Amino acid sequence: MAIRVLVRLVSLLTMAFLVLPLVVIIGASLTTSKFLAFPPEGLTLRWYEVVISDPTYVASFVTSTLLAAAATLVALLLALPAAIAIARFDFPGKATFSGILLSPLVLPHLVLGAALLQFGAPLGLTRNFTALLVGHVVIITPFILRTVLPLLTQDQRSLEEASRDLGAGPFETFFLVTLPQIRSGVVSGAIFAFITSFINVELSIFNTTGELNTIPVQLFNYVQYSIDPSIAAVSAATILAAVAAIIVIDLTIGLDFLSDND
Amino acid sequence: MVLLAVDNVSKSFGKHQALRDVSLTIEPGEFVSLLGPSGCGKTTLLRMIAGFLQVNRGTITIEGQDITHLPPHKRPLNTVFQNYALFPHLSVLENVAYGPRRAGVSKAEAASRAREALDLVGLSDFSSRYPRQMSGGQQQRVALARAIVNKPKLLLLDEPLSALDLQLRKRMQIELKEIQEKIGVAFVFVTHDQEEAMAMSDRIAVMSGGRIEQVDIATNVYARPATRFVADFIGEASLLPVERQTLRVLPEGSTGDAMAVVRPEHVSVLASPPAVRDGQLTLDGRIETIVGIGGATTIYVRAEGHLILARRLGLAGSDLSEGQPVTVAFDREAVHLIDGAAS
Repeated sequence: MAIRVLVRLVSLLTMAFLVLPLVVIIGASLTTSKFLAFPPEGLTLRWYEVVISDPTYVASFVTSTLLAAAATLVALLLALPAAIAIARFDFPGKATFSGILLSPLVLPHLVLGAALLQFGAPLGLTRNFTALLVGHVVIITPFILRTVLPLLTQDQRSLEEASRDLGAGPFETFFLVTLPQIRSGVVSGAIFAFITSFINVELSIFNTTGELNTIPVQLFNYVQYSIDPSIAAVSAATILAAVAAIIVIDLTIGLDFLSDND
Repeated sequence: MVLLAVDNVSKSFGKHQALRDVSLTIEPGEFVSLLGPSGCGKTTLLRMIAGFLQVNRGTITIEGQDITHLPPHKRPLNTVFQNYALFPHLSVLENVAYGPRRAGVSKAEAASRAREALDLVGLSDFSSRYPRQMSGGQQQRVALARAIVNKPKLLLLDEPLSALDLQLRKRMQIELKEIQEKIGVAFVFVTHDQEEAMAMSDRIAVMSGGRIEQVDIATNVYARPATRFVADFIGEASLLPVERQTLRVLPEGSTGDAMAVVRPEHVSVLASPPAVRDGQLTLDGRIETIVGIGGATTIYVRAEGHLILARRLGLAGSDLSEGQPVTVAFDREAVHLIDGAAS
């Protein structure tokens, strides 16, 4: 009994630890003061108005969303075939291949960003959307690879063989059998990938301009000169967008797999 | 017309040669078992017939059509997998309807064919369940229904009963054989269990070290083994080096020009004084061990250095005891000779 109370207490504390910063941000975004304050001094939506009426904020929000969505899509198209190749086939240099694909996980993004700026120039990859996209794809592909690879098991392979045996070609088999089986890894990997792209500063900062900016870089630039509640409003808007996205995913694909045990 | 013809097929994995010049033909409606210890190449052969492995050399034809290089989904055969390989995200009905759907059959028609197949395996009430909600035996039946729903000419079964407990396995053996006769499909059945192979097969292909040692009807594989391996692997036997002409048994360690295979049920153990009949071969020896397993008793007799097995129904008589000098006797007709010297 005492243990159960303790477990519950620890769970509540953990949740508080995770959620309280969000409460502070959302609270601070509602303050009437001209500086960040928590608890908020009075309640107003003025700072949201400031943000929405600022075209640079809106533009960077759109850029960030498009960038994260496009990068996630490209990363999926790269990571899924790569994962299948690594899990299913033996080829020379396989260990090196998967090592290279996973290496961005341990490389400082700042270094990657600087390198991309230096070596991307001859390819026309400087300070444009494509340059941002290439960089983001590099850093988020490993997330999907990591979550999908463990699901491509031997059992999974015999399901694919059964599908082939019953008359399905390789592509039909992928969409009818493989994909439904690795769905949980694909969705969770894609969520991680999207978020990682959406909040990235270190890599993006090398290739953003006044006209082409992502929301975190925009915030980063802004707080160097002034700190007012509008940055809290931007952050809060991001949080709300994330919550909305999670709800949409839950309603369409379902998040039940996150607690699946089998 | 021959249904399946495997012709001089070889396969190696790196330096390991899994199959060496294997040839095998199967008639329509026939039940053939590939029997052998693990690593003998039986599963490799099955997977090559199914198309999951490429042959290095040789050809595979079905009804005269060369399928050696066809991908698995274009071969006119189906497989029952060892671990069933049921799709966990599909219901039982959807699992069974998967084949007809891939063949371009309408949803309604596929469902009705699937129901028919489920009916055949006695699972018509389970169509809306999911595989994980079913027992091993039921999953086994679903896998069978899924494999026969497209009415293939040839069904490949990869140790399909190995995961079931003994009671259920025996029942499924009978049931599987009944279904096979009912639908008239040829079965190629991989197993390492000789009793299973004996109970079900029209013919048995005994495999060892990547080769087919013998293909024959079950009683012949037992009574007339072609090689030392088959004699040793199928059932129990005493393998004795002999002189081909006289059938005289040579002492342990010597090499005769033939080897005698004597099954334990043909060997009598006679307490002295020996009552030897005409035409019988006898050896004097001493009882080493007596092992009773209820229905039968095995007596191990050491004679001329060889360990000779004899079997009696029921419990050992009180006339025999360990260490006792005895005479073993067996009829000349009960001796099957195979070529080659004893090692």
